[in-house]
Amino acid sequence: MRSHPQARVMPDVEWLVERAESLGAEFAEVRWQRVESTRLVVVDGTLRELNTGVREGFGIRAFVGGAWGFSTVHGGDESAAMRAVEEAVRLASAASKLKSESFKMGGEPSSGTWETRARMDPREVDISRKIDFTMELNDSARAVDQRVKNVNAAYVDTVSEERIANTLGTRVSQEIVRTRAAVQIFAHEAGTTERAFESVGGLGGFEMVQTDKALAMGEEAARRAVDLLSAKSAPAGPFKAILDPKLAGVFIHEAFGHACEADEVLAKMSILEGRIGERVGREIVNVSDDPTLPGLYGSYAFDSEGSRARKKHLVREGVLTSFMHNLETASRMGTVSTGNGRATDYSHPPIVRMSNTFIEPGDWGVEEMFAEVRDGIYAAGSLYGYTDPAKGEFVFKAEGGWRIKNGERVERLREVAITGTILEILHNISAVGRDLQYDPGHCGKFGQWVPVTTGSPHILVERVVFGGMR
Amino acid sequence: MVDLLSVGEDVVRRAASEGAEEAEAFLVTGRRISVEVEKGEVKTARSEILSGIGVRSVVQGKVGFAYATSLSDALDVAVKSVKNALASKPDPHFKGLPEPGRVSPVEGLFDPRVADLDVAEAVEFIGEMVSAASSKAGVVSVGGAMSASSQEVAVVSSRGVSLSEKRTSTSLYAFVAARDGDKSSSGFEVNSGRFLGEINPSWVGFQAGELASTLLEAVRIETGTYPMVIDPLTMRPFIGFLVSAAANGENVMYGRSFLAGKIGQTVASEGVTILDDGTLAGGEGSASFDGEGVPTRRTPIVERGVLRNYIHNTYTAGRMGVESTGNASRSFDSLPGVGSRNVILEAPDLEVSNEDLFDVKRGVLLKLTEDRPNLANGEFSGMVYMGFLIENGEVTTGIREASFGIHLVDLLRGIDAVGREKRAVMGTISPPVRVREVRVAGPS
Repeated sequence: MRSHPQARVMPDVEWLVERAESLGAEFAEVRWQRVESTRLVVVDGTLRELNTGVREGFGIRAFVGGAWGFSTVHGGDESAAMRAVEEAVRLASAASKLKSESFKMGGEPSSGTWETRARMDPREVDISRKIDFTMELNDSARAVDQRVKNVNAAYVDTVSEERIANTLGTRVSQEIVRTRAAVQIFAHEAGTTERAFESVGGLGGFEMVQTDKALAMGEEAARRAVDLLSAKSAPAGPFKAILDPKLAGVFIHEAFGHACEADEVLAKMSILEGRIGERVGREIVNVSDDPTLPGLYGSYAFDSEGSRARKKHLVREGVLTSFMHNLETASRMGTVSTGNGRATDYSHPPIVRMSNTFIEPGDWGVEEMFAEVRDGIYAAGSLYGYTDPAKGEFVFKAEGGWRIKNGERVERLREVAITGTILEILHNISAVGRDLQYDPGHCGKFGQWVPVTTGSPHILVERVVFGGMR
Repeated sequence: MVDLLSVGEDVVRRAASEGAEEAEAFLVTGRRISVEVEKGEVKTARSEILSGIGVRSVVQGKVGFAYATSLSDALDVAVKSVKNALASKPDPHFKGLPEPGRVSPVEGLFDPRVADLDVAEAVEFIGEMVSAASSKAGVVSVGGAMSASSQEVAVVSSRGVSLSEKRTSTSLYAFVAARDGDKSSSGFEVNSGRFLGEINPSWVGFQAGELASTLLEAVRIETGTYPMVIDPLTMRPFIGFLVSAAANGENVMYGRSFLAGKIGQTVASEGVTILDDGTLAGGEGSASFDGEGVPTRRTPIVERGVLRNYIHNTYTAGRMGVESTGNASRSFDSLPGVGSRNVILEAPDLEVSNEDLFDVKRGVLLKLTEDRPNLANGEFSGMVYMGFLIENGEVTTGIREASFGIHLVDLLRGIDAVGREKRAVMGTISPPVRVREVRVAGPS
């Protein structure tokens, strides 16, 4: 282990687990976490925010009679944590009063120590260098065009030290370092304002924002915002469409990933319940979730329950092959955790979450796809998306796009919502490109936000509904 | 109990002794409990001790900020914030921390029953919600949660601000899935407020269950232009967004918002007035002072269709040469932003009976969308997450796979009638409103 000036003794979590067990918990987990972060915001050349902070505390889960108790205390004080252990057991007992069925929490113990190999540890990079980077990112976008009206550049790094122990015997310590930068541009001309967004980031240190892509993204976003000024509203209704990698990545996350989360399945909130082994799309469609990819924003070695991360094939050649699990869903469905139990931080319990979720590359070139479209839409860039896994409908928002006529981009289009149904959409994917690309982002579920990556090559979709204005 | 004001004063003094010309501490303590439901049964009971401190320091026109979750680190946080200020760069638009204002206490922000609510009581509330929801045909799964929190917040500054206030809030929501053969649907409902008495668990369960159950019968509709009735349940992305994002002083001053430069212009139907009110007794978004200690107030945003004001914190107000409207939004881990409080739509001249409100030949009732408009250009394209078809004055059947698209200003200008009954939902207070023409896209 390298030593940092900030290095400290981590609190002991094992005896707290033993304490929970002696109080009657059938399963218990103690997580201690300390997250140090730096956040910089530069707006139109002015450093608006220089913010550093520390979150530290214990998150404790106890399982009794089929129900969970979860309690949180802030700080590193073990005696306060002991009271939180008692509280968690008490909460679980109270919750179990209305529980008719229980199950046994199983699983293999996991152990290990892991540390992010950051080439430029953010704790060792001088704050002035981070400020210079963020100011330069801002300047690079402002210099593009006079129509660039407002430039917002942000830089965030976090260093999370974590200890996890549970009654299965799991003992994990890890240090996770993530660094991210983002730029949002507003361009203005003659009463019209448009915006564009770019971000880079990953598991690693300051080197994550020193890439060519990172250094060029201010300019890139500024050009796109200016370009959108001449865009028209998108038409409404069903169209043949090409989705760019950014949008297709969010699309697979929203339209399919969430429905593959086993907690949704168990809650009878997923349209994919009971469909493992069924065909859900064409043979060219392969979808994976892989937290082990080096350096990606949604990567990790151990999840928040201490389970080792691994790659899952959710869809293989069009067939649904696997759901994503944490310890609880795996216990209830008679399988093993897939290492998808994640929590925002110690103040939230781990729930089933995606990591880096993507459509595997196919063998189409982008130009070949365009040649297939006589009248359709090229939708690009992503603003956000969400899904109703119970009903099987999803929506995601493209930053903009182009109208395609006879394989050519003929008209620039503005932001548009795209909707569809989970069970139909993968059958409508008729071509998958070779150009897999990843994008960092944050995914929200039950009030918890976690870093994820979405990824995809360009894809061709035979029919998808646009919620346009014309 | 920790005396937040005295911790805050120590912190401000410490920052000054480290070289801060101005300093401000924002502190919060409290507790939060919640009970979560899965498939009709309690899954998790949670309790959390809330605690945090954030310190803003100013040195030679440079602002620094630091925070921590442990109040025992408060003095370290003060030192770090000064260090950050020294490392920062001057902000020519920062005009200083606000002077103390005349704060008159807003009534009805604290309910001891919420503050003392035990998990066992919350489990009972949840039980009532679940049994009401489960009574509806086709319901296969009931999810949801109840939460109750009580917080004390304090703002202390070197300018002489020294304020603290206790506030409670509670909510209960239900998310219900229904199935019938190949048909599937979902339903949602929520109650929230500062008082336990605002939570009616069986009503929430009943409404969400009923919504899911009736939406099992859902048709696809053809792309076209329809009159649309918007339910108060989903006013947040409409009037909530208008005030919290589009009329947000920060977005306006940076030119991010489509409402920038539009003061005095008509942005809504003549009969429509939209206000932000932080002083409403018992209001979910009410408070006696904002995140910088500035007294809250009632600000007309749109008056009889005309855009009149934006909402501000001290920074955005200073830069635009107006007074703060007491809309500094705050959490202990960041600098003050700008946020709405209670967004209220009033349209007395447009009020009609429910029967008249739905008196259209063929229209859409939007119960829920989770989309939001585009801040830059005001266009709003989104999914009809839960919605119904209106035919000849009757709500007849659910609709599926539909989306809508309209400019937010066109939508507000197109309001031609509102219902008589207002409902408060998560920061908005509005009757149902009817919009003359909205573009709705179906799959055909």
